[in-house]
Amino acid sequence: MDELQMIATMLDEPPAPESEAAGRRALTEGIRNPRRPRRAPARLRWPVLGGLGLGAVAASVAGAVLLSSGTAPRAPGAPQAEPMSARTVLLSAAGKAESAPASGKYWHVKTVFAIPTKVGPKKNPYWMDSQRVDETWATRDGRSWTGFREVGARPHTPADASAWKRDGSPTKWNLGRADTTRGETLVLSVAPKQGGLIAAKGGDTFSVCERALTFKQVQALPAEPGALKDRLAQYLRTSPDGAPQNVSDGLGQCLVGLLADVPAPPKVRGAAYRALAALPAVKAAGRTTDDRGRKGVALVVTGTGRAPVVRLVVDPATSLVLSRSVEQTGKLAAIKQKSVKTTFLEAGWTDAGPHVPSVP
Amino acid sequence: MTAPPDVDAADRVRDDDRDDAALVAASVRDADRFTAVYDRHFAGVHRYVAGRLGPQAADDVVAETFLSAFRRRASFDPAKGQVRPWLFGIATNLVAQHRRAETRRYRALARVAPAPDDGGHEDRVAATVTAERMQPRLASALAALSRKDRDVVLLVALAQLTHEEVAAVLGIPYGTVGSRLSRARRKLRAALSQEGH
Repeated sequence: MDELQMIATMLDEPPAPESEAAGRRALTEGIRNPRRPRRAPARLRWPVLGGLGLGAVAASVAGAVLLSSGTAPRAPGAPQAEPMSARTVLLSAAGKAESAPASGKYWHVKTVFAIPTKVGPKKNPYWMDSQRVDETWATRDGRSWTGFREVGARPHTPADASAWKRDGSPTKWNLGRADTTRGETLVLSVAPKQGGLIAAKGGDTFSVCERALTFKQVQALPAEPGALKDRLAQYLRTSPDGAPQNVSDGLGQCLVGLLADVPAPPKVRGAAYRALAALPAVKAAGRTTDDRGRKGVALVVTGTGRAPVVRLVVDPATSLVLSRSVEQTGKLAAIKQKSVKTTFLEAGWTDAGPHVPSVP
Repeated sequence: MTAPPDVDAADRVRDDDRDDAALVAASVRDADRFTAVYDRHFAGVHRYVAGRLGPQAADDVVAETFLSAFRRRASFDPAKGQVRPWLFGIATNLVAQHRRAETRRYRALARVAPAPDDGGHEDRVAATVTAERMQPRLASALAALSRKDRDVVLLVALAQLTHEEVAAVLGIPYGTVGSRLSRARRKLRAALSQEGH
């Protein structure tokens, strides 16, 4: 060992686990509230600000949090007050994800899945969302259950609601014969149906990038954004369906799936948020509320070519995904049934065991 | 990871550097991108600063390093060097403002009593024990170096910068890095070889 190595060994101090998070908080805070550069002479600044209202000056000098999309005029030479983008909030959600508890018997996810279905007379067609509640429970040793229930259709948009009213607000629609060997008649109804519960076989319960993983494999996913991205890209390239044309398009969706669907450990969720925030295809779209009126931050993941646009609503306070919609682009956009939406009612660890889903 | 063997690691490194510079450039318009710079370099910068100032003081100084880099991200010039040395330069300037903390740390390390020699170790263990026994001398010798020499030694030993990068970080000629480093190493070796070793 030479003297430089001895010095490196002697002085080695691995950071405390909270150091990195604390530093990132400080940085995120700094990004959100950029301070005036310390040594910038004030006399250069005031004259250019002369044209602005006093309020604006006060706000920018105080480093107020601006929620604008960045289109508001900004005085040249004024202290840089970057608009707080939702991505900033998202990165702090990553910190939240990292400190989330992971206790309970079952990893449980309860979602409402909505697919638009065209109904109504030819002169007044409209779209009803066929809604299904899916619930999954999975234990650490690999057992899992799936509960499902059709919970009744509802209008796709307010315009569809008006058309439905004009149609006399029917509660059932005959959709014709199903394209199955049994050829049963399909009926769409606004009333909920009885659901069911199935115990799954096999331990590879969780799907990440269309790869079936065991609980253990999910726990062993890399907790560093770059390595996680590499791993997911590798899954994509070796996908049984063939590699996608553009791996980076797939990456966004994979990361979203990882955040929304599987019991990844807090550190991995944090890494997934960071990886997502660093993808150029991810744009923040400001604060919003989901279908159920829950407050969150909107994220848009765009792809190249014919890739669908994925819209997410994320709750920055808990780091949970509230809803995910997949909207087709190009020619496929005309086929509304291909644009689906998943609302996450619950996701997390619980001690409550599997049961037939209730109507939300 | 079951990634294929790295045929050309140097290419990867160059890609990382380009990504780094691109991230900093992108962060000028999109401030949030700067957090990716943090994610990439936190561990390295923390190791360097904590090595010099100790873990407590390091947390604040590292946070300040990234904030400071963030505030002057617009003036980062990829033509003058890469992001990593740029960050270490900022960190080194901030460390210089905490000279007392640094001196305190080396003194504390110098006070640690040498581990008792119970003999008959395997080689690897022996090496560690030797390093431990040498620690008081090494720490005192490090404290006795001039700040200029110590900057060079620690940028090489802790931050693992190349001579070229150290030159850029400290704003000194390339040749000066070599001469400061060999002078410092001579002193360190002399301290280690005093009496009985």
